[in-house]
Amino acid sequence: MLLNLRKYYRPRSIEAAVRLLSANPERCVVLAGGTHLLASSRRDVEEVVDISSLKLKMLKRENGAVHIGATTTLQSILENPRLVKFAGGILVGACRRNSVSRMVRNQRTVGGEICANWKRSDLAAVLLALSARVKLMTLSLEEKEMSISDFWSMPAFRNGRKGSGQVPPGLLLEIVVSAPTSSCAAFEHIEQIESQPSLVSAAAVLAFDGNRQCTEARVALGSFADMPCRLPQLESYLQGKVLTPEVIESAGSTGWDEIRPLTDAQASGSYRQAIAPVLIRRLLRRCSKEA
Amino acid sequence: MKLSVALNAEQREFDVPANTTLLSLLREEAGCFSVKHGCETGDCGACAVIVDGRIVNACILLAAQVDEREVITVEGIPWVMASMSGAAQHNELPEASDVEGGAGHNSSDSNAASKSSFQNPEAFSREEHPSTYELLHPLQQAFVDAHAIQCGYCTPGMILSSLALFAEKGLIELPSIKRKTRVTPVRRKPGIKKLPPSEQEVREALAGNLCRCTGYLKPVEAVLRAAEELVSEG
Ligand code: FES
Ligand code: FES
Repeated sequence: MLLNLRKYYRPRSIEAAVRLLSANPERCVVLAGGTHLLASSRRDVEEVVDISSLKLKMLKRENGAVHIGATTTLQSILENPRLVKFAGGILVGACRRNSVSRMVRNQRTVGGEICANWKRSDLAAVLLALSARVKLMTLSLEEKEMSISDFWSMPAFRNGRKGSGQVPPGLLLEIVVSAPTSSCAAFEHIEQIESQPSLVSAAAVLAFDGNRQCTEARVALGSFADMPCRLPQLESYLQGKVLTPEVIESAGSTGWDEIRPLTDAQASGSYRQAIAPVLIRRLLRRCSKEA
Repeated sequence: MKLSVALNAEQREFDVPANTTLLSLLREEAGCFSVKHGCETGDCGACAVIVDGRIVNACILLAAQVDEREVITVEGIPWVMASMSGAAQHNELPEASDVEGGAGHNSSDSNAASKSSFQNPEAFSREEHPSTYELLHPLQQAFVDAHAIQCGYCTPGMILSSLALFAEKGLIELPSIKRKTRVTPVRRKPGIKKLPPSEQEVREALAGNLCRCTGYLKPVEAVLRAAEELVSEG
């Protein structure tokens, strides 16, 4: 429950929503599905801007890319027959994995997941591996497009919790995911029980040439460090390699020096450090079968 | 703030503080005590309700989010049943665009009474339809028959999750006094048999409803029984 919430707005235009947000940026937050916000009991929130009437609930495919409106629910992605096979099914897989509860998936939006739960979200890791781009309307009413990692590098995300004295970057409108040119993508996760969030999740998108040599690799981890991250050393190690059992074995132990694993109530850093290479090897084994 | 919500066949007006959750609105203002307080963090499903045809958790929704929307709780099941008897004459489900003013889409005489009830929500009341309020929905009856209820705290949530599943599979149609339901039921050609959900589908639909008593076997059995019955009734 949001104890200090005093005002609820449901504007009908993006401009009106942005104006409301910029009028009181420290105390006014965006409300999409509400599953994270309402469960968070935040005391700093005094106003919410419900964006459900902004017509941001849409899913379309254009020139091979998927455009996902910010208020599209996870369940509607799962139910869309045209997305089942998109990117090896990892987008749909991450939405299904997000919550076992259909009730939650009916409410929870893609935009909420990457703005409010991005640090712990499997979907965030998958979107990072897929090099997703985001479109947002800044508080000065400029429309901007940027990569999802640049989006998370904005001050509102980097410096602590949004709403605690941080000015939001604007209003997220859309996520664009281009169809990977590669032949395979995979998603792996580990959790205590199925209904709990993942302790670590990993996603890989790999491209191969005719000789089954890897030409491009994008590997991302979720819930591993303090934000979703890619593994650049591992990615460059995989370049030009055929995924033999030996390569997969040594790939699992490559590229961990740069990232500090997170310790929290769910798992210790040393557990995460031990389990992540296992997930990476599983991912690569899957990809090698499809290559 | 002032809200106008279509709740179980009735258009209701409320005036509540902005931070009221839908759960508090339903229990404390609307008297819908079937909706239970559980975790209040979206984990247990005790507070499940149907909003615009979709099952959601009332504890993690603000009441203001359902302003001008339509909510169904277990208290609205007699209305859902009456709409089923109206729709049961159809072999084919109507196209979404054909549905106006709820489920009263059949022009045959036998459905004229129920049609008028849906278009005039005030007419659908306990006084007007006493016998419907005495009956249990086949799904509720199946929960009783299968011994799927122990303390009963999770039961309203399970019933609504299952109803939403049945609506999605086209076994029933959720009525509406405002607009068409947003759930697109599986459409079949006339004469083709409706299929009940599989056990896996039932388990997935109930995955967000925690039960501390039954161990889930009996509720799943009850939903499968009810689905079979609805299919055999046509
Ligand atoms: S009370 Fe709403 S999900 Fe538990
Ligand atoms: S019957 Fe007691 S919680 Fe389910």
